[in-house]
Amino acid sequence: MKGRAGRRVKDIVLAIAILLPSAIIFGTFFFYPLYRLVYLGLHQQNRFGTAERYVGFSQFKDVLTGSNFTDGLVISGKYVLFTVPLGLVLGILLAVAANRQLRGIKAFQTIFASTVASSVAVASVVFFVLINPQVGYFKDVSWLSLSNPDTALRGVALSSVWQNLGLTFIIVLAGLQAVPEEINEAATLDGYGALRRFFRITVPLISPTLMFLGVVLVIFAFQAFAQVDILTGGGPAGSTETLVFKIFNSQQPLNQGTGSVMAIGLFGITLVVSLAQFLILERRVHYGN
Amino acid sequence: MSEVNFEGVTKRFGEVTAVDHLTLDIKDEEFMVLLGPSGCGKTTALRMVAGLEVITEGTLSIGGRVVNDVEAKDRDVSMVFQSYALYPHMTVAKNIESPLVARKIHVEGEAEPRKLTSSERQQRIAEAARTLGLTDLLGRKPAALSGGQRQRVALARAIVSRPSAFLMDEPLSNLDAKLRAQTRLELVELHRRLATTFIYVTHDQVEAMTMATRIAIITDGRLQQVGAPQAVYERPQNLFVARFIGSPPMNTVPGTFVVDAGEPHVQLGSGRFRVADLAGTERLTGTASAAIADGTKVVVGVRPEHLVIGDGPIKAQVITVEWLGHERHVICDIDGEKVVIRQPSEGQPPADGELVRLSAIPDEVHLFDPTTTDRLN
Amino acid sequence: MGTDTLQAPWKKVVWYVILTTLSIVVIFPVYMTLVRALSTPAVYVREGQPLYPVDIQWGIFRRAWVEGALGDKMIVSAVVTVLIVGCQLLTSVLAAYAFTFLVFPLRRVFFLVFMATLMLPIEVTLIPNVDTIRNFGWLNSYPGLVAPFLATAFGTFLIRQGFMGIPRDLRDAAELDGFGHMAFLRRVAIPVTRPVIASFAVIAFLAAWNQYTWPRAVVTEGRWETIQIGLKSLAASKVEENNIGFAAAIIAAIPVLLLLIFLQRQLIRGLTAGAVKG
Repeated sequence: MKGRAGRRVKDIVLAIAILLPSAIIFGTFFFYPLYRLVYLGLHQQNRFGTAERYVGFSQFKDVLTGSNFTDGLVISGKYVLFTVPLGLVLGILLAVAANRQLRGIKAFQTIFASTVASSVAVASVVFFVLINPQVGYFKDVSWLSLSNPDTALRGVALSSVWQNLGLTFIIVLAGLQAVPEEINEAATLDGYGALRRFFRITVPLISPTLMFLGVVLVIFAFQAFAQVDILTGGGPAGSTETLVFKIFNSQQPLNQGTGSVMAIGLFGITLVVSLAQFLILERRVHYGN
Repeated sequence: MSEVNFEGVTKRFGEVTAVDHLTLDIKDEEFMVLLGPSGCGKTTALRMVAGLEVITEGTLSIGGRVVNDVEAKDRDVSMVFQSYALYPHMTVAKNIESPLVARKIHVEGEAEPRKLTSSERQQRIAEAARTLGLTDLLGRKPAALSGGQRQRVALARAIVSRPSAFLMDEPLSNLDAKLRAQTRLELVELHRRLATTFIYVTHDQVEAMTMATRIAIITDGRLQQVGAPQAVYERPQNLFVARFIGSPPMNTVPGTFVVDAGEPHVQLGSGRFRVADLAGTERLTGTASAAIADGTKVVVGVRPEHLVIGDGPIKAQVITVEWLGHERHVICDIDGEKVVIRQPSEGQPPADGELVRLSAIPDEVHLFDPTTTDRLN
Repeated sequence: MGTDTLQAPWKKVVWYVILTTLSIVVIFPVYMTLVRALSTPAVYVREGQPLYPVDIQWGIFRRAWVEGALGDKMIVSAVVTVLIVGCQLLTSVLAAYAFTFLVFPLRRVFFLVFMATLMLPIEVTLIPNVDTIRNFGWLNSYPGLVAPFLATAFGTFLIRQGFMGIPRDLRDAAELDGFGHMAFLRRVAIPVTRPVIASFAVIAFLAAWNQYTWPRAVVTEGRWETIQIGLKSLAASKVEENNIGFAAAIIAAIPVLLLLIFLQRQLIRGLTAGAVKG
């Protein structure tokens, strides 16, 4: 009797001791900031941060409907549209190409996966080499010119597409290899040619993987900052100022209220996207896999 | 015409030879079981028939036509995979329909195979579903089916195209024992109904014995023996077959062949007993025992049911008795070799440690060469 | 595509061509970076941007290293990464242990709360966190660079998955042998899940080494720049000098490339952990 109850207490004490460090970190740098963002969103400070006054939810409304935020949202949204579909398609292309028994296929697989080694900063510098308006190799290609407000975002987005290739390739390849070989064989026996087998059998079977990848890429896209910081600094004419870029540049006391509301907006979007994934994936589970 | 002919068919994976010069004729409408231990090459042989493995050497024919270079979908065969390979995202109906969508199908009365019309496909699906009792399950997805039901869907998918040959890769191995016994009967019944060639791969000799019209025993990629179940049981051609077929397995003990007073005998330990002269009855054919040289070392094979405890010439000591309800197995030691004897359950069993005397039915003694493992008599 | 189907040789050639073309496309940006790093900027542009190095400056990498103080920045990155990965391993393994093997009230609630932090990336919590760091006086310091990342729900989740895969029998046998929690953790749980832990470590390393947004926010002095932030200042320099920036980028990528080559398996396992069933 005593042994069991004693063990329970020991468990609890140990659990507290173990979880405390993580809890402190999470509390300080995750949950406290969440509260603080709301607090800052409800207040307006002076330039030096020495005084603040309460402005209430009207600041939320103003910022979230104001052009600063909506511009950032549109730009980030466009960034998602530029990077995610293309990224998925290219990743699938690379994975399908490299998913076969050929001599030396491992070398190709390593090459395709290699961009996972580049950080955002490295990828941005690499694309600087290609698309910088003064010295870039492709500086004269008009549809992604960084000096034109209408096309600059595409250039920046391309750097993300390239950077994501490695990750997308690795994950889609793993998904393809998880399809039981017997199913491919049954399809071959049933007379499915390669193309038909791909669209009717392979794609449906890897769709959970693709969906997961899609969400990951969307979240990455909404977090785009370094690429903008290095390639365009937000220009030309603010046409590449993503949400995170705007938030980053709202750290001064005067702008913290606005920045915080925008951050909460970003948080909301991330939440919605993740929730959507969760729900869709749950339904997919019943599709029999 | 749906016979399948292997002629010297060999399959090599790099250094490894999986199937070694297999020559086997599978007759039209027979239920041929490829039997052997894991990794013996039987599945590889089956996959070569399906077209899922490229043949390294030799010729494979289906229905008289050489198919080495013919694609899987054009061979007019169907396969039931070991784990069924149902498409998880399709309903049962769509799964069954699958072979009819992309393949050209042979239609009764027409010379050339062609694509079926939508109504023809629906008709065949309904028929296959009826045959396998799946009509109520057509709208479900595989995840919502039991193991036995999934297997029947796999079967339905196989029969719907009415192929020349059905290939089955250990289809019962994922079922529990009771379902297995029941499905065995259903498969035999299916074979009778469809009157088509079945090629069935398994490592379970009970399945082979109960279902096959002929069994082909394979090990190390080589064919050991082919014949009707009873023939293979009664007259194994080598030690491997002798030990593989039969449960409990045949007793195999080293001994010496001696000619005693002009009669063929075998010396087992301290006992010597008579062996049949011309291999006994008409069922068995082969070398007369008289043709074996005196003094040859042999491996003696006797099935547990052909050893009798009484006052025979072979001295043995009982190790233990196993009770199985309908019979008992007496395990004895003959000079260090273990043998199993089957006895009915009635009567007093021998005691543990008791010294007994055994005799063997002369007609049922098999002699094998210790080196080549081939049958001698 | 493992099926040993009847493949005509010409099909194989076609695939080799496709794969080579795709490889060229993937590598081209990096190739150009190398070319431009080795070329003299003014001459290169004047020559009409060829695809090969022009007026090669073989010393460019040493120049970049010295003028960009890359050595110092590498050290900063290295220290930051080691600190972060080390702490994350410690806190994640322990937390995962608690959530798997310890019984305590509201365990499920706490776990969900931990997982909720995954919804709060540093980009969202930036403003308050920078203030916090400033208030602690940790701007331009190691504590400032690593503090928010010492614990991670991702690691806790991943390693917990690994722990949950340990068969019940192992736990029972250890109990019979008289192992307490910490002994069990050290002798059984960690060794058995070593692959998962290794994969996580690789991912954590990657994430920490490649970080940009946070260091950019808490570092204002050149001395404290990580290698990634260093790239920004070098890339933004004068046109005649930007081959230094390009060389620096290549240097910055090397450690991770080595990681990819030597720890490919762990990396892939870590990346595919959430994505693929089975």
